[in-house]
Amino acid sequence: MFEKIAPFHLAILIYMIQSGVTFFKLPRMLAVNFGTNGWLMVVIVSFIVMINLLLISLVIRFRVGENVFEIMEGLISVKWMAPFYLLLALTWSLLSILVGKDFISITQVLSFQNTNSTSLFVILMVLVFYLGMKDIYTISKATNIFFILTIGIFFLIIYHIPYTSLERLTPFIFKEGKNTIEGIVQLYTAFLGFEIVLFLFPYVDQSKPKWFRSVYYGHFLTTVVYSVTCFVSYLFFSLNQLKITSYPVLNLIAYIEIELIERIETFVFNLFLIKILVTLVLYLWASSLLLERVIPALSRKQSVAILIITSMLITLNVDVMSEIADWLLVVGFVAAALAIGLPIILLIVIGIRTYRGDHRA
Amino acid sequence: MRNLKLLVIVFSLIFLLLGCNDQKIIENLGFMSVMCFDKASDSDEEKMLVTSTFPSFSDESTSTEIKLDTVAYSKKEAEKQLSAKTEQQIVNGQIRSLIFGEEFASDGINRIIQSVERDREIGSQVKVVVAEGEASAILESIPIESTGNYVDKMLKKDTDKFTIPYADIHHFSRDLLDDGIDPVVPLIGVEGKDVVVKGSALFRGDQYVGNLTIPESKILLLLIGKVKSSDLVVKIPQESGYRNFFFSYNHSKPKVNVKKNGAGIKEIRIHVTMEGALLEDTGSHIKGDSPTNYKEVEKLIDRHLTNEAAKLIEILKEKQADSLGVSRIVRNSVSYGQWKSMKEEDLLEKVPVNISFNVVVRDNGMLQ
Repeated sequence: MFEKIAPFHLAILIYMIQSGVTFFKLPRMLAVNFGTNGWLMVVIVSFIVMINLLLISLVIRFRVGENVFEIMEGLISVKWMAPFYLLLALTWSLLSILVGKDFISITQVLSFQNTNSTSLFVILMVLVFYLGMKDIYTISKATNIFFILTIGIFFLIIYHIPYTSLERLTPFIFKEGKNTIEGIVQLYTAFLGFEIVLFLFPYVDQSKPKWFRSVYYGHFLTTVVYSVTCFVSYLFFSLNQLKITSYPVLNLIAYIEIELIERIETFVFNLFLIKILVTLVLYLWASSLLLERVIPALSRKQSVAILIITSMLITLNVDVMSEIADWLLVVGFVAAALAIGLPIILLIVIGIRTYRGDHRA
Repeated sequence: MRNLKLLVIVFSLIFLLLGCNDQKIIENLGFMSVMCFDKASDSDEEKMLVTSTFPSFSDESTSTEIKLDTVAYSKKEAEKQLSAKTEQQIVNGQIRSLIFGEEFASDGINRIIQSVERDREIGSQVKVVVAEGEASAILESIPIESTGNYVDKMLKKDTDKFTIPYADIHHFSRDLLDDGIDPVVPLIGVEGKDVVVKGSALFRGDQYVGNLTIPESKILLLLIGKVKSSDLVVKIPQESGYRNFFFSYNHSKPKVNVKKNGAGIKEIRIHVTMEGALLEDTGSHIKGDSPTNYKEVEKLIDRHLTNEAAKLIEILKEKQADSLGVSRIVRNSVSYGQWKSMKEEDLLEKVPVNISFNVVVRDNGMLQ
């Protein structure tokens, strides 16, 4: 009997998977795509994500003790599901690798400019491999420690309050934006990570009937962190300035200067490494579950290694920032579609099986 | 298996050595603390004269400041040329202030600001200053070794007392890119042999257009935001001579009200309430032992400030520098469609600004 993840830790885990590297660019993405008062969009998209979470909760309610694989394979045999599993595993591991590459590329904006990005990336991957080959309970425990280490960064935002002004906010809503649809997709991908809960639930301590609420709490925490940061960015920068600032959140952190210490962004940014690590590891963990379902002979170590190496080979030549952004947009779009599509497919499967009567509903 | 583990450890340790790849040895670096920009005497319009100082650690025991200048087309080019002039590698991570000469600033300083904002080495709290006359003259007049810090500290002292506006590159580029306000930065100058704070420099877009004296800057600061603590010397002409007040206030807040007639803007009303102590009054003791009349003093200061503010608005109108953010006030009170149509107009000129003050004398100090 392995240990189970407590609901409280699940909330933290969800928050840590969700908040990723997109966070640094988020205020700019909002300013470019939605224009004035774009921070409101964070709240709106967060509601759409809530609906997505609701779908997932429905899957979990109707599943009758099965996990995702068993639900699917009740209708279609593993043989036929295999390509789908592999595709899913590939998408998620690619997403995870690209997020890592994106993180490394921002690191190189700040420091290590003369070092080969691939070698930095390999170091990150060694970390990911070592955490990824552990079981989910250990990963969750590590995540909790990472959370305690990083949540303090959020409160640095208090420093900026004297420099903010409501007058910069303007009374106009979503004016001067460029591309609302692309913006919503990008914002949606910034929230991604919650879909992993589909694979997590067999490992969650379900003795409390309302355990799924903690997923909402985790998502709520992400929404608060995102929307407060974006709101302060809109008060701190002027709109046109926000549009041309590459990483507004980094600029915010860089602005903090006290007598004792300055230029803390290089330090704080590296703390984000462990946050990114959780995102990377959890996506790879879900991918490795999928891979092991197709090839049961693989051990966790082997499957994680295979996934890392395959995705690294695929994205071998992707190391320029604009290329990474293009790839991330496409893979992120696919992942967003999966996050919405997967629970819907599962619900349809459950529905068909109930109709056929081989599923005691 | 054990061998594999060992291999992985050795492999990772080798990778850790990557940390040694980007080395910066302090002794070999020249930390620029200040950069001055002037127009080059060359005939070429684009060229600028860049002067900078940095400590030299060539001699172990003493650190002396070295001053170098060069003529270049851009900031980065200037840095490279300065670097070529010394045995040190010039780095700009410790830069504290950018000083622009008047003539250079009137051509626009956006290219420098953009370059500094883009530069990953430079933080955002780098002060932007305009110097009366030549910027490089400032460096010559500063007596002590640490030039960059000197200007920085001098400005900090005054911005803390709200006598001059605070301006770093973030503030400058924020106001420059905002469509409703123009940036204001501190102005310094040389008097005799000393560097003095002169007031504030007004910008229209990124071009320097005019300046304000220190009393005028104080009033501008009263109008654009909360002031925590500052003081005013008020001179009221009397039958013979002047009546002097020294009013030290520690609470001031502008309240902006936009009056509309139909779709248009009729006027903008700014009402400033301030609270403070009267610490000097040369009027009362002339009359003998009569105590100072609060109400009368309050009214006198009110009237004085209202007059001064009206004069300030005239200056801003004349220079076409919207340092007050009149356009922004208008923007925040109209619909988007209206704003789009009036955005290009000269709102500062068109919209009348009515300023009133409400001074509250909280106490008189130790005398009645």
